[in-house]
Amino acid sequence: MSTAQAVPAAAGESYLHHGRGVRSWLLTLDHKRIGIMYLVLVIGALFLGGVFAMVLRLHLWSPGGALVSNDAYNKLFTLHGAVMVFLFVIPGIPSALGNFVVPLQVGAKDVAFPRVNLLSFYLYLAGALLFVGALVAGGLDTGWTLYPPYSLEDARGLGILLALTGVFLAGFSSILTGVNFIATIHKMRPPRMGWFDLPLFLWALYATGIIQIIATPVLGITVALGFLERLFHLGIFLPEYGGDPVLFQHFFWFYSHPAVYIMILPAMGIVSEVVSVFSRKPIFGYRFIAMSSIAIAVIGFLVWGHHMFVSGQSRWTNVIFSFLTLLVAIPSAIKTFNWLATMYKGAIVLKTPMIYVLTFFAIFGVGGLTGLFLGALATDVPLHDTYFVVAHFHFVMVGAVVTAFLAGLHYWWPKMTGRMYDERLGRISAALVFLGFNLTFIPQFLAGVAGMPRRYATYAAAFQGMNRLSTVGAMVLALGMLIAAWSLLGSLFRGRRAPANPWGAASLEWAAASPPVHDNFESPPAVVYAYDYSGLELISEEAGWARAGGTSR
Amino acid sequence: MLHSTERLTSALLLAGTGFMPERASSVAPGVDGVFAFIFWLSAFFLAVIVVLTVLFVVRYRARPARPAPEPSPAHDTRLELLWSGIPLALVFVIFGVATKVYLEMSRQDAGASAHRVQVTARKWSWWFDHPGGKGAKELHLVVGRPTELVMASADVIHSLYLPDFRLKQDVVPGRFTRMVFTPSLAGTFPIVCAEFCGTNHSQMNARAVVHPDQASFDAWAREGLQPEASLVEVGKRVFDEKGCMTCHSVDGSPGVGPTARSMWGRMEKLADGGSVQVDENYVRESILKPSARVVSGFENVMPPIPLEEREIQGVIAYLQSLKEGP
Amino acid sequence: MSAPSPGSAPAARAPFLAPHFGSMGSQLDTAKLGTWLFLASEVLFFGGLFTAYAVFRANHPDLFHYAHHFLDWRLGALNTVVLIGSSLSAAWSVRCAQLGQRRGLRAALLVTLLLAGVFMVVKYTEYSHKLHHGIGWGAAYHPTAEILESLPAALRAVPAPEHLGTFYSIYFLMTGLHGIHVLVGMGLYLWLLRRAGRGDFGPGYYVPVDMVALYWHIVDMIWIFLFPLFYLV
Repeated sequence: MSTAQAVPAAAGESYLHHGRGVRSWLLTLDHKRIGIMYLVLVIGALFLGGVFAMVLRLHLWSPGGALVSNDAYNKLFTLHGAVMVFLFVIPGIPSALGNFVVPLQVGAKDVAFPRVNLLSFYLYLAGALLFVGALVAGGLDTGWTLYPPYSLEDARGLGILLALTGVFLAGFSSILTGVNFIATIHKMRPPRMGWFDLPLFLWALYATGIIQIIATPVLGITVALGFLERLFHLGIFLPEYGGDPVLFQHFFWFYSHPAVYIMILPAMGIVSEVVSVFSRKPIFGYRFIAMSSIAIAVIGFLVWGHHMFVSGQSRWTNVIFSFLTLLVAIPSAIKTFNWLATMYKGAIVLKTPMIYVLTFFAIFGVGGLTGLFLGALATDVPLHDTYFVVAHFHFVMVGAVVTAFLAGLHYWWPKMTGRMYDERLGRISAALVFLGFNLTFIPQFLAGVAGMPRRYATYAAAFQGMNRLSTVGAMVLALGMLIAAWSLLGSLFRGRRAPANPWGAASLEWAAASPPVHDNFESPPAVVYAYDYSGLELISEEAGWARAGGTSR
Repeated sequence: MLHSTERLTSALLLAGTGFMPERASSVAPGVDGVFAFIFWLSAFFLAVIVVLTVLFVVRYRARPARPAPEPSPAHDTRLELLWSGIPLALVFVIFGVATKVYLEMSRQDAGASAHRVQVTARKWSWWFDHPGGKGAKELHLVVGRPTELVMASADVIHSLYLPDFRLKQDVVPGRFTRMVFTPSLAGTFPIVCAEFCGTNHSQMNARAVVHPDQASFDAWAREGLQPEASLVEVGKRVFDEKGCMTCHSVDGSPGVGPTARSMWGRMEKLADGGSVQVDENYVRESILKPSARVVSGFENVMPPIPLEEREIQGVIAYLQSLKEGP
Repeated sequence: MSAPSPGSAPAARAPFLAPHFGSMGSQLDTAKLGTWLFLASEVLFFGGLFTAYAVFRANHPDLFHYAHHFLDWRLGALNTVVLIGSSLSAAWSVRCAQLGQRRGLRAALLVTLLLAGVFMVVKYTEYSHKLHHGIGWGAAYHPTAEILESLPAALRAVPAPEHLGTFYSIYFLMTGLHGIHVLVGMGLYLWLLRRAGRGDFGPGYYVPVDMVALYWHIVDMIWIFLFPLFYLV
């Protein structure tokens, strides 16, 4: 441990004040500070990707393109996708929120390997800087999917090499985070905390960790091969040297489809936490939800071929992948119905996190159900690579994941900062995000059904109405996000002090102070089932909730 | 029975798939039927989710009169198995109906008398070599005649997408891919590229012309085969059909490559620092080996275009004619 | 994995117990789990290359049959024996650390390091011989007349298959990535030797020796797959 950590914390001193100065942050081994540093970068990536998205939408205001050249448009959508996927959605919930919450929820002082955790942060930072470098070096216009031979042609310059290295480093960071979380959840629990006492957020991150460890190295080797192929013409992916471009697609999707579950599983974990706490009722069907996370992780490895139904792979391969893909519907349905059943006969409190979660149900419903059209072969053939696909994955990766991320951010904000955000602004932002999101992406479903392919800098005049609706929606969505940012940042200065347990939640992070002390808990917390609300009573809005008599099981 | 199913399907389509383009191939009605089935199934489940969410929020909202939850079970295995089992059963049904239609769509054998077209994709144009030897930048088909497209790419991955036919197939360099189908409606339909392929991906369009009968196709196939009147016309046709115009404008506007207007005879600065006058030899070299000498300020992205001698001469004549003005 | 440097932990605690662990036992358990998870990831990393190997071998068996004649199975076998030996000494080092035999520990670590060095020297000989004769990866495959002479007569009689460079791309990628892992292992053994010399390890604390040995066994295992796949086609 570094010397800064060796000094015992004065009782009651929060982690934010334990050690001062830039060094105490940059060299910290404290999972909470690492989580906050991730949060800052991840939100920076969201902002950058969001700016790209707004330029794209404004460009598509008119069929011939309103703003930029075709080449500039192609670079913008590539960077929008790459920044959002690799720098925001994949690390967003696990690395930023997860880092802060996981050790607290298992009642530990830190993650299993704090130094590996810091290394993982710097790998992510290096990856992010390389992306910025790629942007400065003239950008890249390959799409985030990086399909060769286009992506590895000689005309693609330095940008592609920097971006591939960036993906490699960000992927390595993701692997180390997964190792850390699984080891933490396995080994750092107090002896009396059983597997089925854990908050479901931890089950979700556990399943995520499995995917990170098994799938991400394949992405690593794929981008490494791409890098070497571009430089030395190995003949692995480039057909003119004897390579096979479709092999790249297999490798890429072997990672990138499970990566979708790296994104959505933690989001589902947040939903499980919030829906129970704000219904004031134990989660319904704990074991089914926990096991469905694992089931999604496992099935997720067997479905990558559905991205390649029209790539020329054999029809019977397609049939098998189609069947496996459709199976993902079942664990997803289980979760959805169990969440709804949790609300049944509850005492529902409509605070901001809960409002985000309620909108999550509708958005995830649309995102999941439209997946059926793409998993089923007959409908995927015409819809593949059209705006229908764009709308579908934005419903899942943006609609559902960002909504859950915002729910989680508002939910844990008092714990992270010690301040309460403005409830009124929070609700307004949630409503605007929901409206703007639907207005942006529902027209894109229609455009896709009508036959508009994706990644088009210009389009047929018949699609203009849908594109304009979508652009207006994007502005509303951006406004909603800006209001959320304004409300959260403002709370740092104006917000009232948060009590230890403002929501009446039963999981262990709420047994720590808000914000927690350096070692998380001043005394070992009493271990209870994460959804056991018995005995929790509201003292007052200012003092929050407390367990009468301090009972434990 | 079949008739009523079809009527039911089309009634549903009006609500669910009203945005779909025309149905111009024999598999299109099947695809739309699957789409409608999944659409209404999804609409039902989405309605269940939204209605229950709203209902529960209204009914079970915490109020001063109702501060705590009512007792209810923390799990119910039978109920949970029920809502695992129903989706499982429905997944089997979706898989069954969709796969049945797909196996029809992905047929490999078009039969001995098929209408065979060789498709070549390149950045950013399509080329179709039809039975009887006629090549064109439009795809010409015949209603009711089984058709086989054999597709190759000269550079990167493209994807031939016929929205009205509900068909799509990637075109991969280094191998041939195939598409087998039967057009069912005469008319003209768009062809677009669905796999991102660079600068002018969104303008890589063509048309599929479906002739009402074989005689109409044969007449078209014959008409182009007479020798052209002049070299300039040959060059103009090549310039148009090989997609040269996508990058080299003929009106002087900037593009991916240098404009063809006033190109002839111009002194060009080269990317490697030298310079060259645009003459017969440089034009020939730039068509057959475009990367040999690239004009400064432009990307080295042009693929080699294997033209015949008369066609190259035609292009030269056409460039000269552009210089002199129309 | 997260062993602190001496002198920074509170006095009452064991010198190498990190502050967020309750006991040395739980620290060892956790480190083991973490190492195994990381090694699982490593295996998948190589797995991508094994898949590439399988795909190209299935599609172009002629290419593999032809190209492997440039590889000398005797050198490959020698390296296999060397690595198996180093795995033994790595296992021995863990046992010495657990029993507190400091001299034995240092000797076992040194033997492992030296054997790894022998492996790299043999590998260097192989690489330089090939590159000298124009046996390169992908587009850099231009064999000299001299090396073509060394092929069996039956093979010389038939035309060489196309894209032989792809075989050597895969060869250099897989053995090269493995070689990088050996180099990393040598670095780790140097570090262990330094710490062993300082007397850090004993029955109470041998986490790093144990973890590095685990890593080393996996590196050896991968070679045991590479050897037959390339040299004994």
